[in-house]
Amino acid sequence: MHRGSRPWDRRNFLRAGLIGTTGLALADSVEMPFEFGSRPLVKYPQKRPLIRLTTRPPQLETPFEVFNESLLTPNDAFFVRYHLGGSPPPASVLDPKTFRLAVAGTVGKELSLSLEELRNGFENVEVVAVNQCSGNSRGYFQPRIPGGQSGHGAMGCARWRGVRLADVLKAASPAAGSRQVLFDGLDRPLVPTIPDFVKSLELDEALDSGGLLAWEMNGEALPWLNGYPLRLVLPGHYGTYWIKHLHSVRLVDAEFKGFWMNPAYRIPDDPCAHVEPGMTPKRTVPIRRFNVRSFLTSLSSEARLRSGDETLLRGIAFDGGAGIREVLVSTDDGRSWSGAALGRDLGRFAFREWTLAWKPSMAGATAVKVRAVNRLGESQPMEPLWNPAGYMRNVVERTPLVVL
Amino acid sequence: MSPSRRPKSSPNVAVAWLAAFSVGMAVVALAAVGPVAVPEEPPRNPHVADAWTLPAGEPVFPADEEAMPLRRHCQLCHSSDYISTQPRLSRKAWEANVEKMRSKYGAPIPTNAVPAIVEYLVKNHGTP
Ligand code: HEC
Repeated sequence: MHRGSRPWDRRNFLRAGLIGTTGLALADSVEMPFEFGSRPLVKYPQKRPLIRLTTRPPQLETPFEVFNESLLTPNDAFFVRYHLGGSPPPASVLDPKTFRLAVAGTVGKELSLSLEELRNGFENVEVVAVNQCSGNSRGYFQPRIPGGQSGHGAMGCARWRGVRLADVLKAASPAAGSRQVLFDGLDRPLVPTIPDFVKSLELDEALDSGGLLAWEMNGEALPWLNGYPLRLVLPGHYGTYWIKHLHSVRLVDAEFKGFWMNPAYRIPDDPCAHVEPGMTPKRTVPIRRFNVRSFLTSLSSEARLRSGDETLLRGIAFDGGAGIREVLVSTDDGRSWSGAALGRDLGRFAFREWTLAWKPSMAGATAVKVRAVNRLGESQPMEPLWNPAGYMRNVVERTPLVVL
Repeated sequence: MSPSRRPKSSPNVAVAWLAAFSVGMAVVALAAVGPVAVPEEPPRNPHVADAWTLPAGEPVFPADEEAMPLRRHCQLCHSSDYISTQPRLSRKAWEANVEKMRSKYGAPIPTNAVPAIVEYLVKNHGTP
């Protein structure tokens, strides 16, 4: 590690810590296990101190231990990822009294809905769903890839409450020939040359997706930094679609060509979304659904265990919506595998807890590996796959441990 | 955390553990799944009432001559940590990055300022 060996590393991060934090978090920082991985822990409104990747716009990562505190990720620890300099929008723009969601474009009936009207005009529903950044774990790619250098903390699972996107779209009577739905939030670029962050879905997909226009997260109003007062929740889909501070839903009869759909957020057009490291894919498609992932959360890397003591290994698994069928765990670095017990099923979009009792019998270094399989039989690769944007990392994770 | 050490087959211990750990947890759910390592539900957010003001200040590039072009051209749209957290990249990749800022995001960087910026990036975050 070249910690502090470059002018901007130590000096500036120290400074960020000193200026940017108050109270307990002062000068706290963490070291991610990759080069230039020093990150300050900073307290933001409605958040506990989180791992700050960037300051303006804010990108905050959940400390990994949080995934072993509760199955659903606490609101005050849920990750934050903005793109545009004018983020988050100030409270004055998000006043729930004046806030309106516009549904417009190729519709028979344009809508302008207050939060009250949304809440009272449509059936209120809940879904437990994982949100994960496309670039979660990008910092671990080899060769390294420019972009947000996240560890594994740009993900979280919450219970979202709102109304069905499909119900609201139907209420606007999409005109024949409508092809796509565009979603825009109230965050804005700082300069007009930066493309606004707009995402699109095929209309059929938007109607079938199980998507929600949500105002509540884990029984509380959405935190400011997670999209207050309304966001798109698109279960099974990467976070790039989960537009925060959502204020505009627009139907169009052509293919949307916005920057954040093309060239941004594209993956190689092959079943594993990968190419040989350093290569450029021939064809790309928009990133869509999560692949299968699983993690050990009860022990951190290099944890020490005593031979003969039973420990309950615990972790989480999730996928893009087929649901987890099986979690296999190896306590001998991949030589043999056992099936873990699965926890209560909170729905096919949720974190699925797994547990496995383990009594290490041999002293020495070992490693735990976890591999999940979904109900379609899809699983995780033993060797990491690479793509030019550093998306969709889902290699079987390995946690080295020491048995004493 | 103690729940993980609970012997699986001892109802007494299970009851005691439940009593000690039942805050906010659904007993029904527990009974259905046997040992649960952590609660399902997160605690209420103790920070909901915080004022909506972002922490003040942001990291900036050093005030030396070498970093001056980045101070001038690379802290307009985002803070310097967008750059300082990047891995080592090849000269070609840094050139492409600066070009992306100009052509895709409209960064107002004159062509003659580019070489010094790339030099700085290669020197500080370049692959050997
Ligand atoms: C006109 C505004 C603007 C200026 C000026 C600007 N950038 Fe950026 N930069 C952006 C935007 C927009 C992003 C993408 C932000 C996001 O997706 O979170 C970005 C992202 C980045 C990233 C992250 C990797 C990536 O490609 O997304 C790096 C590195 C970066 N900029 C470097 C620079 C450097 C070096 C300079 C000075 C030469 C610079 N930027 C100047 C707008 C700008």
